[in-house]
Amino acid sequence: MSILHTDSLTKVYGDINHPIPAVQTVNLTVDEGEFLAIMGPSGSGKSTLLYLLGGLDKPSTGKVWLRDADLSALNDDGLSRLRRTEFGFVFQFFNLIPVLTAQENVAIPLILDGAPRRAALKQADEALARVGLADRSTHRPSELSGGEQQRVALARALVTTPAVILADEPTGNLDSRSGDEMAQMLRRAVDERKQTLVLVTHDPRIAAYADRIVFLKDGKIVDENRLKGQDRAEQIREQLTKMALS
Amino acid sequence: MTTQTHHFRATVWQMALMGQRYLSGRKLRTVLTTLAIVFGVALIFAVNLVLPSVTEAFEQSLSTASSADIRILNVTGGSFAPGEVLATIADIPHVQAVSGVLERTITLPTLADNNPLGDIVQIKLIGIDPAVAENIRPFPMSAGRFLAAGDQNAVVFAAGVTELAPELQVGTTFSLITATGLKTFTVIGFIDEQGSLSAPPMYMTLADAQSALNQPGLINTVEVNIDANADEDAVTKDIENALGSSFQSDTASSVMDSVGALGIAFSVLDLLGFLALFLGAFLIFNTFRTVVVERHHDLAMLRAVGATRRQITTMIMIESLLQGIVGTLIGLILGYLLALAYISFIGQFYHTYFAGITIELRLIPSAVVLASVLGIITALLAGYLPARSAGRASPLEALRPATTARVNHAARWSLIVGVVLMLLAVALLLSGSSGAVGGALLFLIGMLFAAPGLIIPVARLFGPLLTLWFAREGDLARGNLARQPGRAALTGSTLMIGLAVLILITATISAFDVLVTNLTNAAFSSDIVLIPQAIAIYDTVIGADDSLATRLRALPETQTVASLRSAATESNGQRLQVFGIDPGAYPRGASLEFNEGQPDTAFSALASGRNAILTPLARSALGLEFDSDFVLETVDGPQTYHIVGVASDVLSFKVNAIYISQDNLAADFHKTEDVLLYLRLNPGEDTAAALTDVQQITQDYPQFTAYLTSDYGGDLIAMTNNVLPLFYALAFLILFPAALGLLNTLTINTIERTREIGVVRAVGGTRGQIRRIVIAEALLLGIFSAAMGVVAGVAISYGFIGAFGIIGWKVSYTFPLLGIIAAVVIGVMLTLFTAILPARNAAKLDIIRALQYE
Amino acid sequence: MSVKHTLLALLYQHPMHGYELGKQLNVVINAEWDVKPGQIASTLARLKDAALVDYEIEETTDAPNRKVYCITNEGRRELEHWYLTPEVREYRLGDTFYIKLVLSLIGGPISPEQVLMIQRRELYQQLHEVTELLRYADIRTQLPWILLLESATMHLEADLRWIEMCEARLPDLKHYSPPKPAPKVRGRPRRRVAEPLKSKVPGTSED
Repeated sequence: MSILHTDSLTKVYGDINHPIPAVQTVNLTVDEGEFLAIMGPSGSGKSTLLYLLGGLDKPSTGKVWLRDADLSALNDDGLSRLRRTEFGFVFQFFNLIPVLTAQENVAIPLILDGAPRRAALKQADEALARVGLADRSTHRPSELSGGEQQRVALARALVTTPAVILADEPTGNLDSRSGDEMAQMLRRAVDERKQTLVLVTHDPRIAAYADRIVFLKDGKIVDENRLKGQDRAEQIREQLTKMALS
Repeated sequence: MTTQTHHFRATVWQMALMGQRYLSGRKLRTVLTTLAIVFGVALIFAVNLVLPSVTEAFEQSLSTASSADIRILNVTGGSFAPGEVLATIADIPHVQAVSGVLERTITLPTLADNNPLGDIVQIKLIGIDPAVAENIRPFPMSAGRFLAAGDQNAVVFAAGVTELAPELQVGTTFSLITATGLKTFTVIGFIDEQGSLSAPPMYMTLADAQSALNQPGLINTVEVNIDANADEDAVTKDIENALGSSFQSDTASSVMDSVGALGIAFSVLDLLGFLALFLGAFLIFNTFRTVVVERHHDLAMLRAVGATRRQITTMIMIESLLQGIVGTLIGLILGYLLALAYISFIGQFYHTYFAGITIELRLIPSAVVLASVLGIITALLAGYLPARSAGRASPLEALRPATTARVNHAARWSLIVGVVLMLLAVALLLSGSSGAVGGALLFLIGMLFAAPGLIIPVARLFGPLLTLWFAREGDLARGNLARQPGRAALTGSTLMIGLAVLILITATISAFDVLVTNLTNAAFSSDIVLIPQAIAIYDTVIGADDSLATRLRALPETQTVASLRSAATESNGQRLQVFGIDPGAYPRGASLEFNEGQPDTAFSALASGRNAILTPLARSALGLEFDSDFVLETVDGPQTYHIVGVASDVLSFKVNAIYISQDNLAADFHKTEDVLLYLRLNPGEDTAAALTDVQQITQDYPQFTAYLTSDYGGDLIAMTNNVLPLFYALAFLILFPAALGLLNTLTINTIERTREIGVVRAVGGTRGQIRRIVIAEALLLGIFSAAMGVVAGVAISYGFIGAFGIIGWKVSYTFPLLGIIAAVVIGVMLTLFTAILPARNAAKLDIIRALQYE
Repeated sequence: MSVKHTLLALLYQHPMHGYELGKQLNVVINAEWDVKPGQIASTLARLKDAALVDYEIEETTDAPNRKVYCITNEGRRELEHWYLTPEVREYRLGDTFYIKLVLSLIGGPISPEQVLMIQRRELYQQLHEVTELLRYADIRTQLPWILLLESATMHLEADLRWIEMCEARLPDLKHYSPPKPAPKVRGRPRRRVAEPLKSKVPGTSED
């Protein structure tokens, strides 16, 4: 059951004389509950593709569908509504508003959508608890570590129980340990709540958590890896031990 | 889930919280930005509080408290023969009673200490015919008796006067100045009423009044009572029609006319208030533009999580609204304090009017509303454009701020437009016509347009200079400015305007100073001058009859005595002061500076017919030309006068006035009192001894004080100079917004070049070098602005001085070298000062974060 | 793996008899299969000969006498020396994939791009599976296993990065032509002497 679907999606920057194609006729389908990783070298257009999927950017040609809603048919207010209710974003940096506490940061999408403040803050607390930061809810971003900030960002992305979480190099700024934790939390969100996750990364270790990896090069999909359904745990155990003992 | 009902409240509250936190996160800029609003609101509030209070006080002091149904005055305000007038009015249907009155509000000179008149500074002398007066209104007495026909030197006060002069009782005698010298009067009764306290009414017989004011047989007011059921307006119209255009019913005339200077001061302050608000608006606009750029990541994030365009716009607007509210509140408080200060200042300055009353500073709701609304609307309007542009940015644009690497081609266009405007302006300025002021403004506007296109060549010009000092950083700084000429120009413009205004003010002040000094030195060719206690407001002075002049002439050391007499009138709807001079004696005892016409011919012309010399201000106010005719309202009807000269002296150059012969003044205006006297001594006389002699004489005429002209001139100049520091202070105030504009732009520049700074640091640039780049850039900007400001300042000050000439204040243009040097120094210092913070922040940037900055 | 030093390290903790040594060894390496007891015994014997361990005979009533081994001072020094000596890695030049890639560059039925892609897919699959194992490992009881898994992860990452590099270099690699061996001289020898064969295997460390 596909939740995101693109049709000949293309984005070209620059002007007529110097066009810079970022995404070229990409046809991509993301299933509900799927953890999709988009990989590729820098300049491959992976972030652009992600932003197009989330309606942050408008394509030059082609379309994006969320279920059966054509994003290009929506005006800015419509897209904003989608971003409040159906999408959750996590970026690499600058995720949080510095003058708001962690709790307020997480509650912002709800408040913008019109929820009464107290209820929104309560929901925010629950989301913070899910990422293990219940005790830091009244702290400002400047008082949190990089990893904690990303977790707050994740909590914010989850608080509206969106259909799709879009993450752009969410671990890029973190050390390996925090990055791993973040990836695990993302994986848990997908497993537990059947949420769809599209994640852009250049880090293979993070991509390894995904169900499917799509490789982008020069704005086009050049390869695909389906990672599920091969239970070779035992074999790996043997292999590794043998390697270690030799 | 969108619950519309909660939608607005929760979001707005959250946004207000955010706005407040953002504001307190950048305290310095918030304070600076709010200051302009504070000043604007304060000034406007103060003016609108004080003005009504002062006007009321003035009107009280000059008011006619009368219970007659209709009062008839001569259009000129002067005195006239009663006979025909009274008869005509009496014939009008529904007129019941007619009474001729001679009244005048006079300022009492300070007499000896044990003066029974106590604290009274002004009284209203009312001469009535006792036989008829009681037909107009009753006079219930609380003590003593009312006037009776045949009474001599008897007065009746309103009982309330004893609050000011407790020693007054029935039977008290006191001395009173009259036109014929000091006279003694006796209080014979008190009317049972309060009466005005600013100018307590003092009733005497008409004959006594006519003698005291040296207007035998004349009245100046007619009080009329009509039938109870008659229509007052209709009857008034009938009376006016019957009497002709020389007479009108008493309507409150503009009080401000009589105190022109005060009115001007109020207008200036109101203007300054609006200017401050305008600057406040600009500051808020400028700051919020900066803020939007600084916060682009936060804004992008909000958009990414689903904020709509309108929500972003609202957020910024709420922030600027908060600033507006805070600024307005502080401004209101400051304004109230300012108003209190104004009142005491004015009270001191015009103590002659206000000694008897206290000006009450009432909290007028309309002033509060006006000032508040203006302050808040200014903030909202100013914040609107940046808010809208913030909302319009797509989330992606906000994520990655546009770093336009391409040079603005618009710069070329505006350069062309600007140069054309400037050339036009120069033509206007040099034409010497009334377009000069317009030319000044046009020049400024032209410069603003041209600025972006001029930045690059100017930067190239001064770049090498900077390179001397800053080495490599100078080149970098130059390149930076060239990349964003539009923004650099806009920033530089604020400083440029500030400096230009500074130069303008210094040039204007020194020109004014020169003017006053010249006039003072030139005009006073006399040795001794006798000044009444309320100079320039001659209507309230009881002058002297010619006995004073005669006694002065009798002194052996006297060569010439020239006197000045005064009346008031209208011409073509404009109020004018009429001075009567003796065309023979005046040029010998005093002098006038002639703009047009020759002194000899002009003065002799005054003696031969209805000819007049106009002050330059009067000429331009009436729109007349030298050697033309104009119509003057006199007591007996309009008269045609011919203009034989345009001239003034230091005391009259600020006033709408004309000079005619004293004979004409007596004939047309029935005024014969001297209100000012000039004395020229024989050559070689001992001036100090002469002064003593004169002062002996003036003991009998306490309304006059004798001065050595040189002393008096010095006092005048000193008085003018005392006002100067205020203007300098104002000029400096204008530089604050310029400084803030600079700070904002340097901040934006630094943010947008975060990545670049990271690269420079990564390849080995030191923190010090980064600081120097920012400072070099600021310096370039400062030099650019100072250069532009100097050019603009010189141009517009030239225009302004030219405008003075149009009004008739001929001043030659002195190149304001001091002002220019000051402006350049201040400009450079200011830029360096505002560069400190951005330079420090740029240097403190963490290299890694800077490099990762997208 | 050095069984010799492993036994020394175990004996460093406290003296043990052979059977215990065997069990401890298995726990440490978390092995599913045992190191053969024979291997242990022979190693112990060698250690005894080298005077790195010693033993005492323990007499028990109802079991055969067994030797309880303990470490000697010499043994301790040897152990320390072993710890203080880093392990030297050998570069695996014989990697089969590497050969496959080079051969495909020279010319083959399958393009180098495809070869790289296939290998990359497999690596990602392995990485995914190792990551899964890591997720369910219990850090309190399986720390050595976790370390091993993370080592595998990082090696896989390194391999993946190398694959990326090869992909990026493909345009250059395509212009690579391996040196041809000099043709064997047939017929009457000329005056010129044939040059000795020079071929360098790419990738060897520089001299």
